Amino acid sequence: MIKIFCYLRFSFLRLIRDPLSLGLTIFTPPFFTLFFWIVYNNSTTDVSLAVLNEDIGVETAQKRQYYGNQLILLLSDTSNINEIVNLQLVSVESEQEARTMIKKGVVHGLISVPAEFSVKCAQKREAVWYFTLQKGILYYDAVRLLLDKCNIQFNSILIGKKLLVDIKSTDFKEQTKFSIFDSFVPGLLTFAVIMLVFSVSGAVSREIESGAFIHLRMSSLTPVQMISGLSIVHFFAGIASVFVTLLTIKLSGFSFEGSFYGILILCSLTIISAISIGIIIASLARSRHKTLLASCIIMFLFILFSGIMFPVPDIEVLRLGQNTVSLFDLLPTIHLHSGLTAMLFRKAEFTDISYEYYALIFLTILLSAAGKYSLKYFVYTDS
Amino acid sequence: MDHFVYKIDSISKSFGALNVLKNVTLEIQSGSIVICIGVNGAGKTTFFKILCGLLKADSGSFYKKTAKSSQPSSVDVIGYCPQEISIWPDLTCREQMTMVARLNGMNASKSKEQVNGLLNRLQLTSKADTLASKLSGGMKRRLNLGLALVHEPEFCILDEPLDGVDLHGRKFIRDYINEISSQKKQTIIMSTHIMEEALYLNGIIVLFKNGEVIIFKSQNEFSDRISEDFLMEKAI
Repeated sequence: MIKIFCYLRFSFLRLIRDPLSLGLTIFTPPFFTLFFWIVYNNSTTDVSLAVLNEDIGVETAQKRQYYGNQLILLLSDTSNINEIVNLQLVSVESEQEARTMIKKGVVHGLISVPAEFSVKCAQKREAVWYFTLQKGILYYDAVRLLLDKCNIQFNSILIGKKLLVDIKSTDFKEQTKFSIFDSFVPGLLTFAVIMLVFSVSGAVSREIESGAFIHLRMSSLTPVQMISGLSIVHFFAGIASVFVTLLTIKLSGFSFEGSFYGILILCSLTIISAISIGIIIASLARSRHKTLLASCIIMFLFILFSGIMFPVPDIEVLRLGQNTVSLFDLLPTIHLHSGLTAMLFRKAEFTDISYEYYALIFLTILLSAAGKYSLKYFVYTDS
Repeated sequence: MDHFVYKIDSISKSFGALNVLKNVTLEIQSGSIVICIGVNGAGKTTFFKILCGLLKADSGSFYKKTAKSSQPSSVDVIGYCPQEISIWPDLTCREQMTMVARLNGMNASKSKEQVNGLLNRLQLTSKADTLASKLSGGMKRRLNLGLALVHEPEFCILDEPLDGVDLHGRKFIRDYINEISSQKKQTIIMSTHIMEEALYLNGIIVLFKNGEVIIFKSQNEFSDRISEDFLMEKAI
């Protein structure tokens, strides 16, 4: 333990003596947060959805009523509910036609109103309309929130009738306004964690390249002790980065509804994974130049395939109970992003995102072990 | 300190088809100085790295024995001064020497005393709290040596410690090596390209040639062979 604290102390000194690297690690994510807020806070976006209205209507005393049409009319003009997402509705004749359009990227989802919708509305029975949204599209949660609000408004028009969509409306936090900036919040927090890959891989490769690592190898400091000392220092740098980013997000007007401790646990687990990835990169690359290149590749991998900016391709690898494990589930950041999205926008509890938690715990253990072995076999031993 | 005999027993190492070391066998009494000489690429650094445990030998072993017991034991506390300057540029001289001492199990008060003493001995006291990146080349060399010796290892491996050090610096490093060997009974094995250094230090001389070693038990024997042009023409 003394050796861990000894190495930790000197790692800390080395970290604070490189203020540029430390500053970039901690303040780049908040800077991007501020930048995104300026650019996207008041911007609008169009989201196209196919509409399959099969409602046959219902005969009432006065005239034939089409509640389905009323619902579509409400969805076609949502400016009074949300000024950020503009729904562009495209009528389709069949579900097959809608699926083809989704596949081609013409629309992002399907809203379907069943044939008996008006009948059930008139009979004061539970009427259901459905929507299917392409998972992973940008502003996914913004659209879901908007549709939910439409449903609530439609309920208020038909007082006394309970309409249900296939999502729980109570899952969404009650926000008066959902901006495009808000949809970037989980991604910005994920980015704060990803930055650690650079700082850790840089610190380790600098130590290897300076040759000073040889004195650590010659001492009785084990790879585990070295990783522990280094990780503690960079863990707190990562936490500081997450906190400053959270503070910037809060100051930009975003209201946090999810569990703060839940967010902290998710970020902490991913920070440990990011530190391990940094150690693996530095152990294999061994020079600062190669480490920088390798870290860039990893960063792009995380940004492109974690749902931060683009939809994640669903490439199924195996099934675990009810959960499908896809190829990109191997990236810890995909679970952080998904967990944060669920927490921040749907007030998800632990049970709702247990898959994300367990996946992160598993990946953290796996990556920590890989970090230890890569340091031991590629740095501690020459042959 | 107990008296040991360090045994280097038939160490061989090859890189592909190149046999760098061929059954190198050496016996070193504790507290003695061994000076390794040889042309570039003769295998001195490879030999040192194997002794340190940084490189695995293809065959052979390195161990120590006491006069009382025939049971071999491993050499645990080794100090290694690499040929290249290997220091932390963003730590001060005092900080990095303290870290190495503490990581090698020295307690806080003992390490403080040892670091101050060594800084003084290596004439680095005035630069003790200066970042290593700000030191001159010669000072960095001395710090490099200090990091190998700060934890008082029983067996010190110094790979060309005098390289790049001025005449004045060389003299006090030589004196210091002689001092720790005779007074503290630390065993020193070092390499050098400079013939005078080999003669000045009070130890046995080992010539590395084509992966094999030729041992000269004294400076006189070595000097005689030099006069026969043995080293000048065939080895060095």
